[in-house]
Amino acid sequence: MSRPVLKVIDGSPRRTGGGEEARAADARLAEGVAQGDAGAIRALTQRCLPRVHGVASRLLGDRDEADDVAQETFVKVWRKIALYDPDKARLETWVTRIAMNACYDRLRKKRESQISEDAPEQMDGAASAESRLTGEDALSRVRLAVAELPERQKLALQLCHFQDHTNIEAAQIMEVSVEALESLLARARRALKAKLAADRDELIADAAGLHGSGKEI
Amino acid sequence: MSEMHTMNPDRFSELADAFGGELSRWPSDEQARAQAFLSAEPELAQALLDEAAALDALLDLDVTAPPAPALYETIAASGIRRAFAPPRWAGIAAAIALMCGAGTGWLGAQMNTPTNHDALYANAFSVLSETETLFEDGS
Repeated sequence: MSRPVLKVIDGSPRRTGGGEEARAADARLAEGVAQGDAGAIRALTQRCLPRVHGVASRLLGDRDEADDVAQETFVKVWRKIALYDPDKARLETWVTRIAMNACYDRLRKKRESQISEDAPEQMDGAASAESRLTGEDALSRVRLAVAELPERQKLALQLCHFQDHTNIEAAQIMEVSVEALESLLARARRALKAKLAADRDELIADAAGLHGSGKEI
Repeated sequence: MSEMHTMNPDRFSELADAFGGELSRWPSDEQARAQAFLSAEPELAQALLDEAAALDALLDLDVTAPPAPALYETIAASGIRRAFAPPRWAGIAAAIALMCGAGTGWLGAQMNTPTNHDALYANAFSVLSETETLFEDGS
């Protein structure tokens, strides 16, 4: 099944394993950024911002917060680029990991403030934002089901399904083994299947309609 | 790196459960064996792929919107500004240099001034006393 929407939005082709050429390109780009080359800074932003923003939107469930996290992430990238080691990870893997940690920091602070205010504890910070959705149409129902997944399952799904990272890259970003990543993905998809099973046929018909009409989501 | 798995219906089902209905999205080290299994057991394998693909189609409804073009500009500009700004340590270094200079000057003044002053004072009076002596002699 083709996935045209993702290709248009993400803009970067699926990588098939890196290699020496990719490593050298990452090293050159990082060096350019470290030396303050405006072209390199723009290229890195262009290449990594969609991934950073996608992860932040998915984990935080709020577009404004995702914008803030993206800016915060790149401030750290500009400051720490000299520490990037192309032998250890691809450049976008390194940048996405910084974004992931920034999101976890925010979610932890939210949880702490909720607990200190004696608010009812929630399983997931993003779910609160997404729970405002009524679930009236296919998109809302799917979005709600994804938003209610535990954070790590949601992140695994974001990296592998929505951003086309390989299992090895996603495991590197999440700092887990590939087996653990596979388990997170399987649990996420099983939970979604169970939640959406009742209305699956109707949802699939809606999905076909949305894809067929070329509606931007 | 993942351990090597034997491709059988269970493993094929596990992979479809985790990675969805497109073999190209499965771990690269298992794709060839999965393809071989699909050829050997097309009915079973295709049923598993179709079921996973149905969920893929639903998930594809929920693609997050891309960042606004203005955000690209803001972020790139922050990186370029930072590149042309003096480093953070430059201000601290300037302050330290100023303090060292002022401190050295003050110390120097403390050590040198009394000695010079005493010498000038003594010298001034010694000249006067020589003049007075000459005058008293009537020469």
